Amino acid sequence: MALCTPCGAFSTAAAEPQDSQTLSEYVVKAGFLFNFAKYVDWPADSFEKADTPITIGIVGADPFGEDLEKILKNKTIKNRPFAIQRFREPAGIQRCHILFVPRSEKDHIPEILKRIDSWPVLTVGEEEGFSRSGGMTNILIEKEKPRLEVNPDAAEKAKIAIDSKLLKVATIVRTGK
Amino acid sequence: MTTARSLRDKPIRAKLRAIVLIISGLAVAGSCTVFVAYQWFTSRNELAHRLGVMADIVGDQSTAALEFDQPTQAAIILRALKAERQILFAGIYSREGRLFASYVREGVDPIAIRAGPDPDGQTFDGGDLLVFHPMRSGGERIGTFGLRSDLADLRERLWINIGTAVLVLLGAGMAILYLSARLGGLVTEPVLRLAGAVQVITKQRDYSIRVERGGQDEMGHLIEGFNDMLSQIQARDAALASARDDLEKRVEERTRELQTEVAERRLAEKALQEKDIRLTEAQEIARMGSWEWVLSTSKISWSDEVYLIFGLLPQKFGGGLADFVNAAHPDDRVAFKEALETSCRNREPLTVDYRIIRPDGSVRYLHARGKAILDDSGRPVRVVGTLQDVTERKDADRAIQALNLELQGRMAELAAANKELEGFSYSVSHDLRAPLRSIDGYSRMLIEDYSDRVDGEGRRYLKVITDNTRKMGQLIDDLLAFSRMGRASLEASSIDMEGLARQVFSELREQHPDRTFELRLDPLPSGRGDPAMFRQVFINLISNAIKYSKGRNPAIIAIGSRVEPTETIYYVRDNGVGFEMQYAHKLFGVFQRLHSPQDFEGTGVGLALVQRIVQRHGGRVWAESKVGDGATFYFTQAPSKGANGGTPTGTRP
Repeated sequence: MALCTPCGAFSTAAAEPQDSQTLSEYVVKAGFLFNFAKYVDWPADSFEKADTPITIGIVGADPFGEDLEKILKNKTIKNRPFAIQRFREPAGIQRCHILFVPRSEKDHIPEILKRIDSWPVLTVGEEEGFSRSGGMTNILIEKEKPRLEVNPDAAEKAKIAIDSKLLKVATIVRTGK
Repeated sequence: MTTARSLRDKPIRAKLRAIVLIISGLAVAGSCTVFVAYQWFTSRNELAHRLGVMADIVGDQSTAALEFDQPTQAAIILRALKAERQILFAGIYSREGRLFASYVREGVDPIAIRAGPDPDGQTFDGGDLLVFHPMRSGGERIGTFGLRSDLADLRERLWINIGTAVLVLLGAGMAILYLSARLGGLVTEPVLRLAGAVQVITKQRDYSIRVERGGQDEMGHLIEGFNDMLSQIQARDAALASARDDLEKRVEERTRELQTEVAERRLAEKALQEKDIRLTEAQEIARMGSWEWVLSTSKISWSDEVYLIFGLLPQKFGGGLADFVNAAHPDDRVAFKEALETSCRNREPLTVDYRIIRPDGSVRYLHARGKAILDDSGRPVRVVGTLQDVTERKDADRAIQALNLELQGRMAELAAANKELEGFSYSVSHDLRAPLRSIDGYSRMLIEDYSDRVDGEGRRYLKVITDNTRKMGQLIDDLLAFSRMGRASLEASSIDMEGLARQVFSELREQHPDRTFELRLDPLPSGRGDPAMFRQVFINLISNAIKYSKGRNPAIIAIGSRVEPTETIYYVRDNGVGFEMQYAHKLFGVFQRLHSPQDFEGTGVGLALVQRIVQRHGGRVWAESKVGDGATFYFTQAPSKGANGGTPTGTRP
């Protein structure tokens, strides 16, 4: 699906010669993954060294294709580059910094969250109800506009600090509600 | 500097006040201006800085909204700026420069607000301040935050500041005026006192006035010095007055003496100058120089004209007697020197002619005169004299002598030649008559006695012969008359010209009974001379007129006269064929004829004879004519005063 966005925060990173006004859904979402890294602080022990990459994990079928790689290429945040790790199934999920849970995994969400438990991993979903189920952030598309959901309780539990600026632009969701 | 000039004549009090006012006013006004300007720029920079900080904070707050594409959230954040009244507009621009979210103050027209972002920084646009600030996130630039603020607050503060400054200026001005009026008196009062005294003294010349001394400052010293000066002037005035009286008396006396002396001397000088001028002029005119020989020194001095005569420059003359003598021609030198010495020795006047050679080689004739001046004991002490250049006179004399000699020789030659010629022509004419008479006689005898033996042709030939002998006889008569005229002595008596002309005309007209004449004879003044000769003149002129008016009917012959101061002019005019004026000079020559004998017969002697007669009586002849329009012949006589008419005086020009 095509997504109309006036926001070009990552449009230059998208290599596809697409209309800048209408970016594909996953280009937008790839950009959002990168942006999350800016507004989130992981516990100090989650990085071995000062330049240890921020690892983005994707569970199940990867909806991004090559878009994510293209966007993250040569990008750093606080001197940290990015790494991408793909997990075939929830049981195989390893420690990473950001975990994207595609729509295809909606039936495995409790299993996935359970697998992560209290690892300091920022979970990002794209399905209605992901945050309520205990996911930390959720990217929804409504009327071709992106909308964010954040579950601060879940983040706090995993010792992940979410910038208030992000909280200000997102819908706050509590677990189980 | 016009202020300074217009102030120059104002009182010191006004000057002081003006100076204090100007300087203080400038100082206060300068401080106020600097203060207001400083306030303006400081508050402007403060505002710019404050807005920059605000843009930084609000921009930072909005990064998430921009990055996660939440314009509604961004607008909410921006709305917080409502608290800042001066902010007209705030906007978030994407990295590409697109307006992502914005805030516009209530009542402001959004279209008037700039849409696109400018380069980062602060600019003043008209009355507004524009701030553009980068928005960063995670170390990279994600967009621009823009602000537009009006400067209404600033301006309000500016006006308040200006008002305060004006109030301060006015207050200071009044305070300064008050103080300078109170304190200026300290300086000006003594000055005014002094100035007043000076004015009174200048006007009244009263040097007894003293000025009251004030304090111990410079003015006090000045007044003290002024008073001292007045005392001194008083003392000097007194001394001067007495000295002047004395001096005036002496000057008067001396002046009187001098005036008489000067007047005398001036008269003497003037007389001398005039004499000198006249002498120089006279010498110049006469080309005469004067010289003086002082015997004791043997020196000669002379006037300027002598240098001109000698052709010398003044510095070329030695001044000794030898120089004077040596200027003479070598041949005359000894004689000249002797003449000088003799005159001196014998106390006789000197008169000597001699020659000199000028430096340019030309020889001049000089005439020197001199006279010895004796002392009381009768011994000559000096010789004074004159020197005159008489070269031109000498040259002229010699030339005249030579000319006279030549002329005398020529006259003798001419007289001899004339006599010879006249004798010759008389004898020739006389001797020609005899053979002519026999040719004539024998021809007539042939015609009378042998006419029956000669045919017609022969008789015609004989006729031609007799005609020609008659003509030749006439010619000889004329020539004889002409030559006789040169020798005949003149008989001078009064002549009735009018009667003579009338008589001659009536005689001549009888020879032409077939022609019609009209005589116009004016009254003629009587002349003086030989009547027989003037009869001949009229005969020749009137017969000429008759001859050349042949064919005119009537032939008009006019005879008249005109009396002029120097001569009386007679004329004979006809209405005949006339002649061309270019030949007029030939008319009076012997044998000169303008017309051929076929047209008009004549010997060519008549007019020559007329000229000869008139000239012998001191008159002249000429003729005027136009071809076909008659001719006029004139002869003149000098006014008949006794012997004048009969004296031959030669040809007039």
